[in-house]
Amino acid sequence: MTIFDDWISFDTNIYIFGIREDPNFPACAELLERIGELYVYLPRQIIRELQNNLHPNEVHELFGLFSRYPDRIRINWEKTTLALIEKFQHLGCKLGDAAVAAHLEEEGVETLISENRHFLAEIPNLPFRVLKATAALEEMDRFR
Amino acid sequence: METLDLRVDEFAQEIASWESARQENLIQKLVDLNYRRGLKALSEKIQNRLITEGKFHQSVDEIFTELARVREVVAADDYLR
Repeated sequence: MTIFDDWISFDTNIYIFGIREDPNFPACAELLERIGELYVYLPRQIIRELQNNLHPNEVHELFGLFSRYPDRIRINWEKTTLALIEKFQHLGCKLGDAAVAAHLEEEGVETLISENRHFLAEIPNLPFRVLKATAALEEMDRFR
Repeated sequence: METLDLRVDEFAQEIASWESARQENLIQKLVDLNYRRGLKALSEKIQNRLITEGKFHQSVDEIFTELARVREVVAADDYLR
């Protein structure tokens, strides 16, 4: 299995740095450009964070663009289970990070792309790996 | 305009004669190109808005701090109410 075969998720920072074309994180913009090559799962927590970080018309446009890849981008508006959130809180996550982790575990997503080097770094036995955008692109190029 | 329509018709006829894998490849390329153009246009729109709001030169730390704040607010709204 490669990064092209499994459902993965982008952390909110990937979308934000990518859409801003932030020069500190050029890999985020490239990942966003190449989103159609991947299978990307977008859980409620990330969607709502995007809604809070962007203007409504910008979110509408962004999701309109994503809709060009109906088989590649899966949007889930459902809340995740409290029991899973509590599990990650007990492991040391803040509520928000626990919600993201719970969404991923619930859906069996095994890869999260994030630029936040502290995100879940100290949580043992995560059911998914956390990759930076550059590492994800390297993996994409290796298997392409 | 009529000439252009005619050329489009001719082009479509030619594409329709291609094998389906080649047609699908062309359609996918069109989807990708349009997506990238749209994304670029949206990026520019958002960058202009950030410039207007004086947020374009926010530091990485400021952005991460704001993202972390929003994460907690959203999660609290969904799960603590």
